[in-house]
Amino acid sequence: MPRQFSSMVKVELLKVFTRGSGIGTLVVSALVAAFVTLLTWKVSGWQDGMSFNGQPVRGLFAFDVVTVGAWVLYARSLVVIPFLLLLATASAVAGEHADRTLRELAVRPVPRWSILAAKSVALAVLSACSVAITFTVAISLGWVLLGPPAIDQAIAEGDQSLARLALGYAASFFSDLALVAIGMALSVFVRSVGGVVVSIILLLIADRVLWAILALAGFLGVEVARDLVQWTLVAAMGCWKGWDGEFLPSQFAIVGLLTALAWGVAGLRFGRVDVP
Amino acid sequence: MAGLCRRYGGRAAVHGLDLRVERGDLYGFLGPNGAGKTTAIRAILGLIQRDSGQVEVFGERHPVRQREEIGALVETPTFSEWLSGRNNLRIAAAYAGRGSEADIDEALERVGLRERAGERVGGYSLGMKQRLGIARALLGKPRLLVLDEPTNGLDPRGMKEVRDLLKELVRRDRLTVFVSSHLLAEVEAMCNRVGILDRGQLKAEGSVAELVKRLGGATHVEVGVATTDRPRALGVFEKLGGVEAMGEGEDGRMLLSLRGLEPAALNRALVEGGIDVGALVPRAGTLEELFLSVTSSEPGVA
Repeated sequence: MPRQFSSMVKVELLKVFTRGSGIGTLVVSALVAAFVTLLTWKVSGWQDGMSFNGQPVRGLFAFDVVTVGAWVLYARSLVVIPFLLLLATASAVAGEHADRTLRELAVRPVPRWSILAAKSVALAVLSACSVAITFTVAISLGWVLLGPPAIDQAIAEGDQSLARLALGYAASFFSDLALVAIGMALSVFVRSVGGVVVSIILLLIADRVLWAILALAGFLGVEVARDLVQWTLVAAMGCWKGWDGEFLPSQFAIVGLLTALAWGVAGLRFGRVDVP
Repeated sequence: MAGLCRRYGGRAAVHGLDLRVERGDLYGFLGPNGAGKTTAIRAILGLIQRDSGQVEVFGERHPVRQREEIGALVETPTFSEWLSGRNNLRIAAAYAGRGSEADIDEALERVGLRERAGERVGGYSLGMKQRLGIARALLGKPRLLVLDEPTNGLDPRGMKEVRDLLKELVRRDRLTVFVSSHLLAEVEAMCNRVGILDRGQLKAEGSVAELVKRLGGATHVEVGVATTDRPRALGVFEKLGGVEAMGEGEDGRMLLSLRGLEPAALNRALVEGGIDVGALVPRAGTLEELFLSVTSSEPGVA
């Protein structure tokens, strides 16, 4: 690692947090959390006065801060924030390749891979901030509007359910790292922001097709297909879903492996590519 | 640099390029468009892979350690446009691993941008960006400056300032400067040594005076004779042999190229032919003449 690596990370943070895609990621993280929380609060209000089979609906469904946090976690992990994070990654590498600012870094006395490493750390910090903002807004606003965790939610876990939710958020950060690594690898090959976005869409479509084929094969009794289905990209990156049940170590291992593989490919390729 | 080769597809952008820049040189790297200048500069800076050949900078062959000694400006400098000029220099300083705030101030001062360093680079003119690019190359006091067309986009005053700055860097700070330019007069006014590249190969290298003498093989003189005497003068030249009229010199004098003939013999022949010689001024060959004589007119590859 070059001795100036911490300075490199510092200036990459400056770039990531002042670029439109970075600011957008943080703003949308807060907005998604606020919107879903307000929506949940509104929906919870609709229960008042409603009944089902003569029983009041209120109480059948728990609308508390943990529920809100979970819904926000699902919303965060859908399209918008991963897409913005991918855009931030593509802007940091493919974007700088295209506008030739990457050249100004490549003429400095540092190994090429360390440039990607500095950018990765900065993007990981962006992701961590996005996760933290989403969690903080959801929990604080949810607590104010809906109160503390409901009693029935807390039968077994009590506060632990909130702690498990926090683990779910931490796991979604882990998924983000894989996304950053994949975005970085694509950026090194494709070298334009639009190209990276199109590539990731094609990759996700291919991944879903593969998932469907394996799921069908598993349904038809092919045992190996049932094992392989967890190796598909989207399935593996859903490792955070284990927060309300069981975290699967195999999913985390697959995400870690994918991340390492994508970083390795990006580093090797970037070391040999001509910089315009 | 020795035996540098780089091909794009089936065509060689540079082929067997040998180049030697001495410490303290202000070296002008010339060549027509597509001669391979930028390819060679990118190879020096490690921006492109070399097919073969070696680059050595102050005895160092490791590409990363070589770049510790180099400050560079390649083509039109590019910046993170939404950031200020100062922040762009901070990025460069961080990656270079040297360059304090005081160094950044000094570099900005040298190119006259200190007052506007806090403004977004997106609002800078082309000339300001070029000067900021030079400031970035100067950060951290490199021992070798590699500059590709550093006066692009500058007005005549800005061009002169850059020329003066580069001369000062060589004289006062003992820097070695390698500068590519298509402006021959600029290189002639600034550089002590030049290399001329054509179709990926070095065609000439040395001091301007030395090269003109070695490659031209001719002496140039300007002869002042009355307009009415010119037809007779041309007759004298034809009889003498080795004299070629090249057009008009300064103050309407005839510009002649002499091969195997001393200016004194030319003067004597004219006087004996009854022609009054108002002036006979020896003139050194120009870099432009040398450039045109060693480069081809067809475009190259890169």
